[in-house]
Amino acid sequence: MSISDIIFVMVGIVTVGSAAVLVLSLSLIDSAFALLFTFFGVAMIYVFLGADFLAATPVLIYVGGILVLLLFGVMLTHRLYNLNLKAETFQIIPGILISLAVFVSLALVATQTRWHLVAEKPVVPTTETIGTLFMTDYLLRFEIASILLLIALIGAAMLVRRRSDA
Amino acid sequence: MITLYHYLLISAALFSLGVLGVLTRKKAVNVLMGIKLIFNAANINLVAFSRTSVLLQKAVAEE
Repeated sequence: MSISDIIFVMVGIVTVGSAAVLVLSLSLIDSAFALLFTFFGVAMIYVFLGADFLAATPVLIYVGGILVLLLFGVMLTHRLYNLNLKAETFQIIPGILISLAVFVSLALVATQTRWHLVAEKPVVPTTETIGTLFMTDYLLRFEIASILLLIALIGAAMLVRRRSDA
Repeated sequence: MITLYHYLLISAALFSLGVLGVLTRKKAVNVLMGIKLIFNAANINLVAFSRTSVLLQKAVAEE
C-alpha cells in the first residue's frame, strides 16, 4: 500500500464513521458535529478525485455557513443541558432492514458491474473552466438559479416577520 | 491503488446511512441531515464516474 492508499482508507473510515455517528447518536449537537466531520471527509474524497472546486465549496458553504448557523440556532433557542434535544426515533427495525438492503444492493451493483474504465486523467484545475462556462454557455441557468435564490431569501424574510405588524 | 470501486463502496455506505437516518428520525433537522448524506453519496458517485468512465468523458469532450 502506498501512502495515498493509507490516507484514503483513513479518510473513508472517518467519513463513514462520522456518518454513522450522525445517524445513530441521539443528541442533536453530536449529530451536527458529526455532520461537520462527514463534510470534511467528503471534501477529502473530492480532493482524491481531483475535483478542487467541489472540494472547497461544501467546506466553505456548509461548514462555514449553514452548520455554524444550525449550531447557533440550536444553542440559542434551547437551553443546552436540560432540554429535550433528544431525537426521537421510530420504525427502527424496518429502517435498519431497508438500509441494509439498500447497501447490499448498491454494493453488489458497484462490484459486479463491469464498468468501462479509462485511465485517470491528469489533475487540472477546474475552477477556470467552471467560471467560464457559467458566464457563457450556462448563463441563463445561472441567472435563473440566482433569481430562485433571491425569491427564497425574500420568502424567508417574509416568513420570519412578526404577524402583528404585517 | 484506489479504484472506482472504493469510491462506489464509500458512497453506498453513506447512502444507506442516510436512508437509515431519513427513515428512523422524527425531527425534521435529523431527516435533513440524512438527506444531506444521500446528496453527498450521489455527488461522490457523479465525480468518481466523471473521472473514470469512458462515456462521461466522451460526453464532456463533446460538450
